[in-house]
Amino acid sequence: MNNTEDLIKQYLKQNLGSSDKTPFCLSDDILLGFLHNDLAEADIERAEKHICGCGFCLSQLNLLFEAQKKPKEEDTQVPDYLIKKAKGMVKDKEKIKKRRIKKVFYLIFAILSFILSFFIPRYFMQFLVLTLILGLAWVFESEGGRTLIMVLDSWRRHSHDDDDEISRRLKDRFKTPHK
Amino acid sequence: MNEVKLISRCLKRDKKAWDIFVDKYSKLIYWSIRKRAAASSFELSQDDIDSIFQEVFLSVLENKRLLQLKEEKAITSWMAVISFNKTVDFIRVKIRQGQRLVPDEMIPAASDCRQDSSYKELMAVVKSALATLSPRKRMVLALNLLNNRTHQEIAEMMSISINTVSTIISRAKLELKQELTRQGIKNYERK
Repeated sequence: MNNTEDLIKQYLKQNLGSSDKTPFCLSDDILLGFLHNDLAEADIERAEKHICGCGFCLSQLNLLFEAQKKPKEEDTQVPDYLIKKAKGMVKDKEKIKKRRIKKVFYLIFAILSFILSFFIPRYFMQFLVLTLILGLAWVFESEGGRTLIMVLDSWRRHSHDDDDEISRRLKDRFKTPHK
Repeated sequence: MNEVKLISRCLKRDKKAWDIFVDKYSKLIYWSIRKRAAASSFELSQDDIDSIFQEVFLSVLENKRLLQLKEEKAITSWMAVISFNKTVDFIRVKIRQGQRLVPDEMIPAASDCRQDSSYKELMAVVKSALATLSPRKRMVLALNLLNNRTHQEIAEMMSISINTVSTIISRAKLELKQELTRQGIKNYERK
């Protein structure tokens, strides 16, 4: 690179090398329109006038241009867990439907079993146990049940060193003062 | 399945379509996040990239803008735009929280610049010489010298011919040289 180019480059680096987005920056639509040659002549001129003096828009335009080409493989090894997480944002509707049907099934049969326990006294205990089982199954199928399990699991795992202190403080709080 | 149909089914929360969409655009989004951060001189941790990555896909599900686009090229560009914007927003928040930019060796810090009056004078001459050029010419120069774009790439970006690009660059350099000479700066040497 010769001296003249070097001078221009230095000047440009100082003035356009790094820049934050400002309220005057071009909108995404305009930048994309410029890149795809979809703008009217007047808009092109306005865009050029801004871009030549704005480091942010210049870098944005460059990046958009590069993005249109296929990113190089070595630059883009996306971790599998990220892709899996992104895919998990949309749940399988069929699975959700089946889960809902299962929940309703548990609830209906739990209620039915409870009612039957009164009509068939001979099997009262059996129907009650069945009601309990179906009721628990219904609870654990629901989101609330799963949250409860997570909370209990987390509490079980946490350190119990402070438990005595917490229980002592609770007892003190409810002690009535002696006269 | 064409792109428009794919997007439409994704927005209706079709699992299969969504999986195809994620597979198709995850590389572009990942690349865009990292490139934008690098261009903004900010170092993102893997957790940061992961967060932005998820936010981009979330915004696709919540924003029906993509439905208005008809061509694959436009959709690709728009996905890149969303990724860039999410990255910029994230960086802004981080900067407000006190995280610093990575010092960029390419950008001379103010304290590194030679502050002697001759250098300042030189830069002032360059500034005034460049100011005589039209915005289009200045943009061509910036793309070539600052962003290292080839003449072909500049021609594609600005929808002008390669010959025009080459002419602009060579004339601009010549004009600047003449301006420097006119200002009495004949032998500028790199120190």
